[in-house]
This record gives sequence, structure tokens and C-alpha cells, in this order.
Amino acid sequence: MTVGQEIYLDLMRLGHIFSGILWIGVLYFYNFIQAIALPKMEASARPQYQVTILPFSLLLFRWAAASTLLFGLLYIAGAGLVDSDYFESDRFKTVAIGGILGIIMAYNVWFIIWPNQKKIIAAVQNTIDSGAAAHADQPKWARTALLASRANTMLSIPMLFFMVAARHLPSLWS
Amino acid sequence: MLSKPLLTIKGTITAGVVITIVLVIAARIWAGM
Repeated sequence: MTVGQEIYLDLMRLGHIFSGILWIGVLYFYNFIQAIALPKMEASARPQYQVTILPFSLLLFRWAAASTLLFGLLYIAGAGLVDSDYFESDRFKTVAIGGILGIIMAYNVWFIIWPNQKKIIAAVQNTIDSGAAAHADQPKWARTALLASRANTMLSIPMLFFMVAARHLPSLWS
Repeated sequence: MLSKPLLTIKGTITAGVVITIVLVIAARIWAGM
């Protein structure tokens, strides 16, 4: 492997790890802190949280998910080009299990959690601006987003295990 | 019904740990074949 190839793989790995920690960190904040604390917040303060902190955290959340996926795929593509046996290796088999779980999670973020949260934020903003009553479908959107978010928290446990196991549990396949 | 464990944090974590154990056992069985 040339020095250039090693630097490329290290940069992809670094990008993958940083984006991944940002993504799962925000996911754990939503599930372990926000989901419990938000209902306890004074009802009059909640809409302000939902139109200020929530949109910004969701922006980081969904783009961290996308870049985690992108850096991971670029790493795998690079590793496969550098080492023709990579796709036959135990390391790849382990990382692929984590990768499949991660792809399901990124899909949940972009196609279930974000569309539903976007509708909730717009509805809350509308209520703040016009004083209109909350949209009737709001609890339905919130439930769908919550279940997808909880599913991702559940999947993050095996996903993280297998990502780390690729390097730290070589005996998995022997 | 499948979403039931996801209604609580405890259920979510338990389900995640169970999936991890099942996948590790499946990998080890696959490796042994």
C-alpha cells in the first residue's frame, strides 16, 4: 500500500468516525434526554424549543447520517481497490453487518424521522405565527418519528458492536 | 406488536442487546459451517 493510499484510508476512517459519533450522539440526545425532558418542559416554552433547537439539531443529525454513510462507503471502496482480498476478509464480513444496520438507520433518518419532524416544526411555527390550534395530525407525526428514532437507537447497539468488532474481535469468524 | 418494545427506553435497549447477541451467535454458526 502506498503512503497516499494509507492517507486516503485514514482520512475516510476519520471522517466516518467523527460523523458517526456526531450522528449517534444527537440520536442518543433525542432518545435519552429530549424524549424524557421535553414533556416536562412548561407547555408555553415547548414551541420555542421546537422551532429553534430542534431544526438546528435535525440539520446536524441528518447530514451527519449522510456523511457517515458516504465516508464509510468511500473507505470500503478504497480498501477494496487497494487490497483485492478485502471483500473476502473477516474484517469486511463484520463491518458489512454493521454497515447494513447503518444503512437501514440512515434510511430511517432521511425518509421517516426528518419528513415527520419537518411537518411538526412547520405546524408549531404556524401555531406561533397565527395563533391557530395545533394541527390534528401532529400526534400521529410525532409517534411515527418517535418509533423510527427508537428503532434506530435499538439498531445502534448491534451496529456499533459490529463496527468495533471488525478490528477488535477477529475471533468472531474462527 | 413489533413496535411494543420501542415504547420504552428500557425495552429499546433490551431489544438492541438481544439483536446483538442473536447476530453474534448467527455469525459464529455461519463461521463454523
